Amino acid sequence: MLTTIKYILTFTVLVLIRVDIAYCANMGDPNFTEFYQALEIGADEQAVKMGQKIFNWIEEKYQGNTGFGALKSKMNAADFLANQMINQLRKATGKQVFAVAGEMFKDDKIINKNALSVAPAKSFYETSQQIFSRPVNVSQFSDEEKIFIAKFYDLKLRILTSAIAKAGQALAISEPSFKETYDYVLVLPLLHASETNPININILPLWMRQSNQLHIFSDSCLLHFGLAYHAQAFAKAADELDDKVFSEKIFYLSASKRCIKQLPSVAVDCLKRAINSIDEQNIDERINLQFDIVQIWLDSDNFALGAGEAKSIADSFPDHQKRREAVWLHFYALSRSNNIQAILANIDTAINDPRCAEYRSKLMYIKWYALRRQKDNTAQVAALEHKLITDYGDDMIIAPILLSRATDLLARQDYAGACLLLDQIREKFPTTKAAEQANKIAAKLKAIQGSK
Amino acid sequence: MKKQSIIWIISCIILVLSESCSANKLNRQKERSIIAYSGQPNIILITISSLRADHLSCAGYNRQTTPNFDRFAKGNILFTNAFATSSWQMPAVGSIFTSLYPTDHGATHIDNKFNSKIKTLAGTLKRNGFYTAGFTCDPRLSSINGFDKGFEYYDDYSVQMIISSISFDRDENFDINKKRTNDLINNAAERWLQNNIHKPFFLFLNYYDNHWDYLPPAPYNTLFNPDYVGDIKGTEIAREPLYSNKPSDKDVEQIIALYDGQVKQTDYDLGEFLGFLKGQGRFKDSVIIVMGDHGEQFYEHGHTSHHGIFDELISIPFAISLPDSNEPKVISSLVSSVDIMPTILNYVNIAIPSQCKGQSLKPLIEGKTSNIRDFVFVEYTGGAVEDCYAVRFEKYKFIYEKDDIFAYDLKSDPCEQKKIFKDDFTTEMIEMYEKVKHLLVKEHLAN
Repeated sequence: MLTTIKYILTFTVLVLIRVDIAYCANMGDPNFTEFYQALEIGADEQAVKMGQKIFNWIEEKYQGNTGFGALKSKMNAADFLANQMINQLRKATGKQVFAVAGEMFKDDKIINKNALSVAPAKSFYETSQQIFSRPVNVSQFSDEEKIFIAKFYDLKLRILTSAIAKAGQALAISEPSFKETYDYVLVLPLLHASETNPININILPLWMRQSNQLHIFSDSCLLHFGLAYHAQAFAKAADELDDKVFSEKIFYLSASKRCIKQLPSVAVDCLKRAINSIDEQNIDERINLQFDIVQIWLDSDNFALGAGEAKSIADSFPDHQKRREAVWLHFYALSRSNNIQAILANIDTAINDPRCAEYRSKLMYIKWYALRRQKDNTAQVAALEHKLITDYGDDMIIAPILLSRATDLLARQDYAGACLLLDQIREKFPTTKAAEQANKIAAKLKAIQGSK
Repeated sequence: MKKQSIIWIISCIILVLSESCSANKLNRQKERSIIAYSGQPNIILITISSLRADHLSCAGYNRQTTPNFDRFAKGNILFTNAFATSSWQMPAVGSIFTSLYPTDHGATHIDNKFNSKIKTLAGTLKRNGFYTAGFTCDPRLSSINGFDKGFEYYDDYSVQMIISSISFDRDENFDINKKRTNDLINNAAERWLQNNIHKPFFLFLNYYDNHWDYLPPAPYNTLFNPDYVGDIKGTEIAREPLYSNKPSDKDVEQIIALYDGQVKQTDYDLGEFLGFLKGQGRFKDSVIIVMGDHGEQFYEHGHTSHHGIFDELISIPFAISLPDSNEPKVISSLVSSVDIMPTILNYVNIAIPSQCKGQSLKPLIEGKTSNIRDFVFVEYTGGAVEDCYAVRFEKYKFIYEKDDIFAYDLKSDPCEQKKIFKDDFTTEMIEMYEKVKHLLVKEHLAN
């Protein structure tokens, strides 16, 4: 009896395999149209089933093809990555639900005291970039196959992003402070996009393809992922849906302002893109934005980058009236980054350049500062101090120099000379820090003289 | 009558002679003291902030961090068992300046100024004819906190002033902890030395770059861990979450690599200055001391920065060069930073004030004794961790913390990981503890 059952089962299995092989064999002319129709009406689940069979047929056809292998490995990677995100989001949701229950029942053991532990979407994006940037060569495929592959791939991604969106929404419901659903939804689309291959909106869940949602995606691209170009693409798509006129320049300028404090390099990227969108003839506007870039670097303590940008202005516009300001900012930024060698190598040219006359005293001061940070420059420092005091005796920047000289005199026991200089500092530059110190030193000197 | 007259005349003669002898003696003494005075060595005291003793290559560290200090120590007198009285700059430098423990000199907390009534090293030297000048940019060692006491010229402003003035009012609120300052300190001190005609002088110079943040300039920033990829930037070292949350081992390695880079950069600056002193011939006419003010920790006891009484926080490098000394020595006896002031005063023949809690190291240096103290005393009262007090012998460290007494066996547990509570003290430990109990519990328990 048992043997008979075994035979029946084996026969059934064989028949089923046979049927399947026969079906595949019949896929000599796969029905692309039905697949496209299912896509058209939004029947994604049905489309996936149909598409998978066609995909299997193509796989069979191109067995051993490296292009197909690469494509499949990308699809697997997308699947894996999506599942990673979904799992983390679900775990966090579970934890949160559990915690709420703990609060309801006032059970300390299950109250969640830890913060949500989901890795930031950006980290999923960054760690997977390399895998998804590998090119896939499907040149051997027929045109029809290529179209199918593209659509099937998009469909798979859309299903994955929809699942991520659902997991994110579930977490947002259980923990209202969680607002990053859109960031996670964007990971896969961004991994498949580049500046030459703009983001494919079709791989987003259908309900998210509305202008207000696209604006949220734009913000996410800009503020979470720091990807200005894609932020612009989403904003543009949103405006197109609303029949609004979109200005690349205005978008980037406003985006730059939003990023200045937290993401200076993104702010600079936005400004550079804004500059590229401006007519080359409009030099003043372009230069002004370049100065804004210098300022962003300086404000964010990226002095070396600020120095480089200022130099690029000075080098690119040798005859422009703002060149002198660029030269000054270049050396100022170098001094802030303590790049003493670069300062001393080039600053004399700037000091002697008549075009920079307006900034000469400041440039000389920077040189003085740089010389003080180097060894064995005593004679040069003294000569420069003399020149600065002679040429710019009323400029506030010489107050620290006068104080240094007064200190020299004190060390030489020339108290009268020191007092004279200290008085000069106090009279001429009473609001400076040097004057504050001059007061202290003078008081000490007076006390010593009094005690004698 | 005749006899009386004779006696009177003889008495007068004796008196006149004795007066004249006494005057001559006084004059001679004065003359001698002037001669001795003119031959008085200068004193140059260099302190380096947060310099942990076991991170020096001469202490056997596995990185070449301090070639210049090593050279200085090798040619002079190196103390390998020197300890600060506290683990941060105000109390620690306060003890160097006064030979008093922190609770006595007063600078125990950032809001507690240096006690203005006590005698300082600079003040004592000044009263004895030394010109006294100090150079620092450590905000804690400022004149506002009283650290200029006894200095005729105390430059605690020029580095900040020059750095802030170079921003041309574009950035008023700069953070000195993020700036490179040693080269400017060197410049200010060298400039002063070039102009100085005072003799003898006491010069105090403090390097601050070694204090957090750990932001050594290139190439020191990548010298010891060039392949590191991660979030550690060297900033926010003393703040949460980094302060008490140990990051990954990889990140701790980077923190240490940045610190070591900073040590090497500071050593370079020290080398520059010592080179300058040599060029000026100062090694021939000056007592030169180079030392750390306190140590630093890297989560050995749960924290970074420098708060507490563990060895990594209080063990300091310390070396002395004596004028024309050609007898290099390595001294491994216990010494404390309270011993600095008595030692200096001893070398320039100035009476050591009675307030001093330390002892002169001269007998130790001259080989007249092999040991001047059995233990060092340490206090921590900065507020970042619990107040605690420690007496450190060679073998044991006894600690008073939160009304509790415990000890570490430094021979079997040099990393101080296993507390031995009072009930478990051995007979030897009890005997030692009884000797120092008064130091640990006296005032603190009363408080």
